[in-house]
Amino acid sequence: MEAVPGTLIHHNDRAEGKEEQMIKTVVRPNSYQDSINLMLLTNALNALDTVARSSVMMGTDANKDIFRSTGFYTDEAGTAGPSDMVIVLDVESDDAVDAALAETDRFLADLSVKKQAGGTVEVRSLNAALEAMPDANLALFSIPGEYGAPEMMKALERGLSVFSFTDNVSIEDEIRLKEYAREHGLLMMGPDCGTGIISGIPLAFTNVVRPGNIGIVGASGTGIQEVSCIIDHEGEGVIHAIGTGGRDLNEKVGGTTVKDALVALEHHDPTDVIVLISKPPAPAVRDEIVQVLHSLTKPVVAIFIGEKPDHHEEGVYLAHTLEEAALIAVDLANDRPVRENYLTPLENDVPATTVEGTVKGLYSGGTLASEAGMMISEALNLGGLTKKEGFVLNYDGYQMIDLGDDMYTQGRPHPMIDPEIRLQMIEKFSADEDTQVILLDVVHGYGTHPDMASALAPAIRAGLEAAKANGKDLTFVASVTGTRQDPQNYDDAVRTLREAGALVEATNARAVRLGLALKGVEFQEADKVVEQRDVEPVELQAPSDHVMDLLATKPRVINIGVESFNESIRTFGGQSVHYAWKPAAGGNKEMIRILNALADRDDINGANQTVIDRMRDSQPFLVDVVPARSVIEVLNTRTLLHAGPPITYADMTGPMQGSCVGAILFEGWAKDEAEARALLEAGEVNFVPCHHVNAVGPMGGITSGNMPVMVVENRVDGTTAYCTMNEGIGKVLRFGAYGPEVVNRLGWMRDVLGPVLSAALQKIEGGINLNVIISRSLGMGDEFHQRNIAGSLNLLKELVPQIVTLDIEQDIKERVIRFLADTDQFFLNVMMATCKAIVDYARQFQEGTVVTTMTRNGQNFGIRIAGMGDQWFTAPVNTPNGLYFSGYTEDDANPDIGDSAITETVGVGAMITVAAPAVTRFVGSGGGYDDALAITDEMDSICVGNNQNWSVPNWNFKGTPLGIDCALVVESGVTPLINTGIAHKEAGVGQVGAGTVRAPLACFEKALAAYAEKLGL
Amino acid sequence: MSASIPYASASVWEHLGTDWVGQVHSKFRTSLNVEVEGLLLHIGHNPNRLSGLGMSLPQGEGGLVIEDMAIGDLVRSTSQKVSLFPSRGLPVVYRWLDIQKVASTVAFGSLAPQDLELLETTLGAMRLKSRLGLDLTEEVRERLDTLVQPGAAEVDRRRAIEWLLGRGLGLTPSGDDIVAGYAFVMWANGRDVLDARLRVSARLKTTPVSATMLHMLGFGEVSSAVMAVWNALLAHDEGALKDALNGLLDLGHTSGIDTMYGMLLGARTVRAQNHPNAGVGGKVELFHVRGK
Repeated sequence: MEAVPGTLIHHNDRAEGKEEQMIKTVVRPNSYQDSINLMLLTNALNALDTVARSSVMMGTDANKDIFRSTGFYTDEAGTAGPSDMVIVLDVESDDAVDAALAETDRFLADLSVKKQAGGTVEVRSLNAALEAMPDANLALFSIPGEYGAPEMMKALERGLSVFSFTDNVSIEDEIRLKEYAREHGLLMMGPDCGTGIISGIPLAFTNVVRPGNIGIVGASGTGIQEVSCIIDHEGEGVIHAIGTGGRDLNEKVGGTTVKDALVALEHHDPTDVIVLISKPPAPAVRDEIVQVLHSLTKPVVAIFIGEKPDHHEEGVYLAHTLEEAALIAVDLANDRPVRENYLTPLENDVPATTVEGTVKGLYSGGTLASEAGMMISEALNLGGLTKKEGFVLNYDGYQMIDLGDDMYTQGRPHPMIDPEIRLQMIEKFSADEDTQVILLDVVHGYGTHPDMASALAPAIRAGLEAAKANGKDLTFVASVTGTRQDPQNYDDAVRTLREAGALVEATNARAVRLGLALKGVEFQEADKVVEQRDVEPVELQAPSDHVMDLLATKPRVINIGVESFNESIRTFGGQSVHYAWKPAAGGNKEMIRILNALADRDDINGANQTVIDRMRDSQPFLVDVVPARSVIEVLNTRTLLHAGPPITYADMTGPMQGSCVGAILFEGWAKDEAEARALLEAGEVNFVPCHHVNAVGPMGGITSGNMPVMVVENRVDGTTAYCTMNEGIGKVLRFGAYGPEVVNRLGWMRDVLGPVLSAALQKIEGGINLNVIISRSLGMGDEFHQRNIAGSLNLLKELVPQIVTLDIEQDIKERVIRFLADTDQFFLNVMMATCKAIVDYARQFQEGTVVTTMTRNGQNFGIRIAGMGDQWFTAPVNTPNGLYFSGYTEDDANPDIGDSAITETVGVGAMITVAAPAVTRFVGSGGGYDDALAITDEMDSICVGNNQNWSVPNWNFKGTPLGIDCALVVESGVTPLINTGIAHKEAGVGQVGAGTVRAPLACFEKALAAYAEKLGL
Repeated sequence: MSASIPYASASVWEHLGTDWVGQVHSKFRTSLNVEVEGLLLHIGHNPNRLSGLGMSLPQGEGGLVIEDMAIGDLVRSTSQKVSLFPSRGLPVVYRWLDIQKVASTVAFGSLAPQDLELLETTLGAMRLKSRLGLDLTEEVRERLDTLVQPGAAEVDRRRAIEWLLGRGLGLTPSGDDIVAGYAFVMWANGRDVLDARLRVSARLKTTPVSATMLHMLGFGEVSSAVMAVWNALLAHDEGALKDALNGLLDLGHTSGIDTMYGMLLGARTVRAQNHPNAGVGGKVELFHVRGK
């Protein structure tokens, strides 16, 4: 089997005894997808005939534990990182793997199409999201729990309330988040908040409920769903359903969100009735909650699932079942008096004969399972609920199972999405002699299976047939939690279940009562009367303006994680920006720690701003062309400058070594190549990085003392930088060629070109203002790395009038002008010196995380950041992707090399690809204008600001990106893109193509770690 | 009336009270109907166009909420306030105390026959017949003739009204509008031609909008446009009457014409019944009475 590009395929034979099946692992590096998409993808793969089962998850530590516990762990899965998608397949053949991968590609492509069709505004950072929606008031999180707390805290710190679908957040973090939210007048809904309605907008896994004058506060997702759906069916509506997370009434959390939400609804004018749904509060919290409930002026219905209230209290009505809670709320919403009893007739006739066996409940909704367990336990006196191994009731054959429990969802989608576990259970219990009633729930709404009733129907039918064949009584009793406005069709679901042979009741409580009635047990509710209760009301603190704004407007949501959660928000009149979250720093926990510590400091942003102010305020002028040795002291010895961070001759790649040979021949240190190489190998030539002596050099960057260098002065403080002149194309020293034509050209540049340009520049008072040329050339389609033709022509326009007036021979003038006119990339070297003069001024300020140098030596990519001064941070370079001259392929390419990435350091080159769409295709960035724009936007996202002095017409006159922030690079995993020529890997051949290359992430991580250490973080 | 405050016809308090919940039944460009206890409460934002059971919301916020409301959305009233809950917008709440009550009740028997002469004269000059929404077929003429015949038996008159219900096109079919105009004049003259049985019949035979209009007329509750006619007649103000009738002209496609035609029939009926020997003026040219 051939590997799909970008895909690593590994094989493991399966456990002994099942040789025909194999566990195969496919790791897709850096392919982050949210958990819902992965669950849906797992569903799609499981639906393939050739896949026995599958598990698709990101390679986080937590997910690896799940792989282990579900028998899907492989060594290959173990090597995956948090940003890698791991597909583990239980299949019989390689063909099945191919089919699964094809389905994966189809599924992911389909997601992309849907995203485009939906017009989703997608960003890659919280800052970008807030820029796109400055008045956002809610962050909806659905990211893996292990990353949740710090990300939520960031949102709270930015003044956003939080709705956290994200679970697996520690209780300590929950307390911290909720306390922060309360102190700052924000609402913290969740963690583990599956359901919510804000101003009629369904959030996460929620039904479409008609808005009305009832507000719900709920610590239970399916509890909210069941109550709100019953209210809807009764003709009333719900304006808000504020989820709190299941632990809110825990003693440690203290009911923070419940109390805040109750008070908020008290102040929300359209809300007339409040419903509170929760497990019983911790004893220490109960009194406080009861006091709050009695201090509200609006009537409250409270249900503490598992408790059996025997009375109501004035203004606080206590329900036993979810249905009762809903019906009391409906009466209160209508200003009707609360009745003493809410038991309603069952829809189905109860047969005269009763069954002897037990009742099983196979639930996808945890609270519905608990309700069933409670009712059955009470009716049959089974001793109450348990919470063990997925059971909420397990007594004497009576089993209520919450199939959404972690025990059943490890490595597989939730049963509201994936019917598989229930299908297995239905088959199992249908064959079980003792089981005579099976209770089922079907939960509709956003996020759940598109047609669960149809998915379950064949199993119900088969179960009934099997029971009949065995002479056993078996009855399925189901309820559908949904409304007629849901994405699923409520009436069809009911019809499908009935046609399959199930008895359907309108609510879970009625379904349970029918299940009991089949056993001849009539579920009864004692009448409840309203009793006075003397509770001293407390003065409730008024909610913040922010909270009231949240409840009084359509939420403006930053959706972080599951992309599909945008759909319901937009469909019902809300606004959302999608933050396509990926684990910060690729999930590297140490980096995340450092990023958070840096974010907590107030001084970093200011420092970064100072550095980019210096870059932007720079005033580069081209003032002279001089022999390198005249300005770089060390070149008066047998020394060569080279590109990139420090490197020895032995470690240099072919082109740089070839350049060294060429430079030695040019300087006359050796008479031929062999002698030159002998000198080099003997260590008799000293090497210094260009960057150490205020210089930069393209490709190999080899610079010797007699080579002429252009002098660019930064007028702000006189910082000066140097760069050799561009030799043109073809066989040139910078690409490693060293033949006679190369050496001869260098001689002409030394003897003629350099002095002529020097003389011409001396005639221009103060030199040439490069900001003017750069700005003008940006408007003419240059990006200054791959394309410099406008800059070269604009420079020529300045130089030619001076050259023609020089007192030198005409043919010299003509040759110089012809050379300049023919050398499209001449301005590249000017630009490199310009950028060097800019960064060397900027990096005199030594704080912050702005990248002040990027360069490559063919082996390593090196960066410097402002806060670490001259220190290099390196990582192995990548090899460029691009287009090749005829006769060459990527096999011929030398790894990334050259100081020219100094242009990207200052925000041009590939950073501003959109400025030069003409070269987008050539540099292999993907093709069209849209790609160029996307690349530029992506690069902009890792920069601190923009340089308005270099405005880009093609980018709506936005300034070039400025100040690559090492922290943003590490956080996002987006590394700078570099435009580059591609040298042949062997010395002497020269350039073989051009393309782009990504800076390696590791050098940014090293720099950030070092800076954090310096700061004592 | 100010477009910046909410209004409701007095009939809302009278016939719905303040404790009710309704769902949006039908929606138009700038208004909607809410079904409350089998009746349609019309909600718009033009206080000069209140229906017989209607509300007008302030422009701006009120216009937005009407735009956001969809069929099935809830409107909930409690003793304190009325709240609209659009499924695609934000809820809006109005306190009953802040809602201006607009008179909508025509006092039973408040107009004497002589008060109606002006109406008959004015309407007679408006050449309404040629602009009616209902084709004046022979069977239509027969029923209209029955309405104005002074000697017609009550049972025949009732049958004629019942026959007209639901005839024609539109939210309020032309037959209903004619009946409405007729019933208004008769009520104002102290004759209730829309008794409970006919009101039930209307619910079965015509549109819900029309049925509500006729139901309310059965209690003398009329739209602000018809109230203007009644007020002008009470005041014997010819100018105001012409203005009010011109205002009616704008109602619906032919609703205003049909209603005025019904009023004309009513006025003639009253006159004929009070002066049986005088004959029904214009009858010969207006109606062809079969067999005569």
